[in-house]
Amino acid sequence: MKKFSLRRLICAALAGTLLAASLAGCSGQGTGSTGKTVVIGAATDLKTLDPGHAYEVYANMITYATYDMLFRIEGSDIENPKPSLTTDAWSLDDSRTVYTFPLREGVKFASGNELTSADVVWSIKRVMNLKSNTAAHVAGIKSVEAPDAKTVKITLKEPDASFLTKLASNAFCVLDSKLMKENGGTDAEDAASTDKGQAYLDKQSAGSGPFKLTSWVKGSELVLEKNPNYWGTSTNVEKIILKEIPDSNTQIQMLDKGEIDIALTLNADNIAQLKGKNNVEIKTASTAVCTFLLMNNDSKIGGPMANADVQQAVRLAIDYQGLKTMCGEGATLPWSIVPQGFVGAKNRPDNYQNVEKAKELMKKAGYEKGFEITLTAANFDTEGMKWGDIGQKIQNDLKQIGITVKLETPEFSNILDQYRNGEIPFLLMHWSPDYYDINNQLAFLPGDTVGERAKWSAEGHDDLIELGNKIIGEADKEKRTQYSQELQDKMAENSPYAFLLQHPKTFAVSKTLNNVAYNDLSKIQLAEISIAE
Amino acid sequence: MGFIKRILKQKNFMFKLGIVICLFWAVVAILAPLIAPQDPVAQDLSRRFMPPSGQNWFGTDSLGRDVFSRVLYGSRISITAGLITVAVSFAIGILYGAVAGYVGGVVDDIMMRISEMIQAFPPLILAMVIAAAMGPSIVNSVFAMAIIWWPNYARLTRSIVISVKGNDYVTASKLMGASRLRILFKEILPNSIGPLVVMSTLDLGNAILMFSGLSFLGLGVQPPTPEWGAMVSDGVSTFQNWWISTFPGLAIFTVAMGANFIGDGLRDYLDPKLRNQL
Repeated sequence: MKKFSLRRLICAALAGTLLAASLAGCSGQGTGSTGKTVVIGAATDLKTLDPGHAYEVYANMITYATYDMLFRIEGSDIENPKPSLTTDAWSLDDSRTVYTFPLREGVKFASGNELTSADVVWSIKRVMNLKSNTAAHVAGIKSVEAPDAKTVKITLKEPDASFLTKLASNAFCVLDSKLMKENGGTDAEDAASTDKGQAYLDKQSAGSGPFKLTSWVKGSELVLEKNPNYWGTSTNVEKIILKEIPDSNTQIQMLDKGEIDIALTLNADNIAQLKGKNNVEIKTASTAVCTFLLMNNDSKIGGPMANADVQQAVRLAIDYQGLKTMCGEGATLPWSIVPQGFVGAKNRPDNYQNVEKAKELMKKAGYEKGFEITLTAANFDTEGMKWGDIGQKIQNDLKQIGITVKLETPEFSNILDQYRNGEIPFLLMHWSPDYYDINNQLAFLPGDTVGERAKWSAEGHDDLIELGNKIIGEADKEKRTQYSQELQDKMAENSPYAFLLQHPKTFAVSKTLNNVAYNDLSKIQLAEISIAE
Repeated sequence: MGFIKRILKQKNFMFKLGIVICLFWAVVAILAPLIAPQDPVAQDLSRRFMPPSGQNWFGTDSLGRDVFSRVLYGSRISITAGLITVAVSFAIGILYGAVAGYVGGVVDDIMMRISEMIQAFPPLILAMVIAAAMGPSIVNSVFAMAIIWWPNYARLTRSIVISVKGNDYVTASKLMGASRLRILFKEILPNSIGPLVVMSTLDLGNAILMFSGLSFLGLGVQPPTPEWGAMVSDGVSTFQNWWISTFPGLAIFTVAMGANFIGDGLRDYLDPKLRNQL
């Protein structure tokens, strides 16, 4: 009898455990389906979530949800950053170099610590001293001070019309300095070697944003939970899960089945599967990412590609409308270095392609019979559009004017050094701005970063450089627009670049979500999403 | 010719099917320019992603190219690459293995350890590393495959040579004063070749598969050259356009299967115990 009862006891215990486990499982799923959790599927490039180091394309998507900055992009309005931690009473002095930012009252970090000007100064100094990937954003800063607990004063070396745009990026995220100091963070001069904050910030956030990071497994899953101490108004979303799903077809299937709410990294061609589904909305947003051809201006490297007439012949021979068709809905054709959304942006005129004129230019350059050249188009894509496909299209178009293009498709990482050193004769590349202002595009000027990569030296281009300098500091928007358009007109037909496409972003969202806004800096505005009740 | 006639008289259906399939692809490869309805690299952006129809039997791809014509042309690259890989590995492997097996001793030990070093790596990974290091191209990926493939032949040749070299006719030849080279090439190798031929036929399918694999990963041919593996890869990102991947996939499948059927048939034919059952 005793033995029997023991066995029964074990059975009962087992059954009880199973029951409890299954109940727990149910309740876990329940929170998801009752509409408090948003699940996003995407193929991101996240390497770190430390705002001082993060440079990856999707970094701002997370830091925008977990941190506050002095200024912030709201919704999709990337052109006009709005005061966030500071108030409308911020000011700029007459020399246009000294900014004074009064801080918002009553802002607390997720930890419960109060946010003061000391935190802002500490965070910016840390980024300046880390000299990491975001260094370019803070390079123009001469000093950053805290006159009192609720005021921050930033002094620039030179006037910079793009400074507010820079303020709205992850380089200026405000960290909880008390918490960070306890966990190895430092803003000292030697922070580059002594700061140990990154490991901490990859596990949890230390900000005052609407959400806080609660777990992150690199390349797999990231979880954000609502910050109970958030000062602003927040939506009804309690939890956001970002799942890494490299394959876009899998994202589409999971979205269709309701396993994820947003499929973020799709392309125009495979999104067609979702057309006509009534539980899903397809969205197209604009990005500032442009693909362009780089023709090396040094004849020792570029050979015939260094010839200005050949460069213009290439620009004239390309079938831009065909490229636009391939790129899908929302694609635009930039005239030169300034993409739509930036001050004064111009589009390429319709019917720009002119094969006859291109042939004449080839003749003028002494290449009537054409030549052979290798086009390097890495095994890579821009917003889902394969560079190999663009390369084959260019190959096809240039055949008409006698240029025989041999296509090479190495891995992207294998050509980066060669690209940066300007060693590739003919290259397909893309440019994704670090901050969303025309100043960032001036890297394409002769003698500047990208100009050097095309071996396009500053010599003899004083007019372009002078225009660039005017644009950098000009405060008046009308004048800036005028300078911008003048620069584009000058560079469009006389530079070693052929700008091809400005790529749209295509993604799909479950109809249970409201207010899914997209901008190219912070991608999806995670903190603005709400769930339909 | 008697050899071929006897083979064709075999009752083994699979073997004949294999020969038919391989002959079919050989003819397609040779006549591709004549039978392909369209230029395999001609783009037509107004006809992207067209499903199979009367105009495009196998549909069109992301640049509006005719998949049918590309599959036909693709046979040239894939089959040639497979043949060259097997031929090069066969030649290197037989020489290497014969020397190792015939000379024996320390030389044999050293030679075999070297070949084992190559075999210690997973074949596809090693081929990928070599092809990636040398830069993607047809020649480089064929070279990479030959490098990882020859030790198989070397090992088989060595073991056959060791078993054959003790036979009476070898001893007789030695007594008559034949040179070592003569013994190796006139007596031993001709009597070892059967299993090697079987192996190379079986390998042809594998080589085509691996070459397609390398191209699928972007390490083989460069666009716009039509190649089956690269074509399968083209279609993967837009799976709803199933025809882009399916037809070149079927081509790889049939040619690999055909080569395997022939290999199996030859093995059975050369095996005296099975010969009568065929």
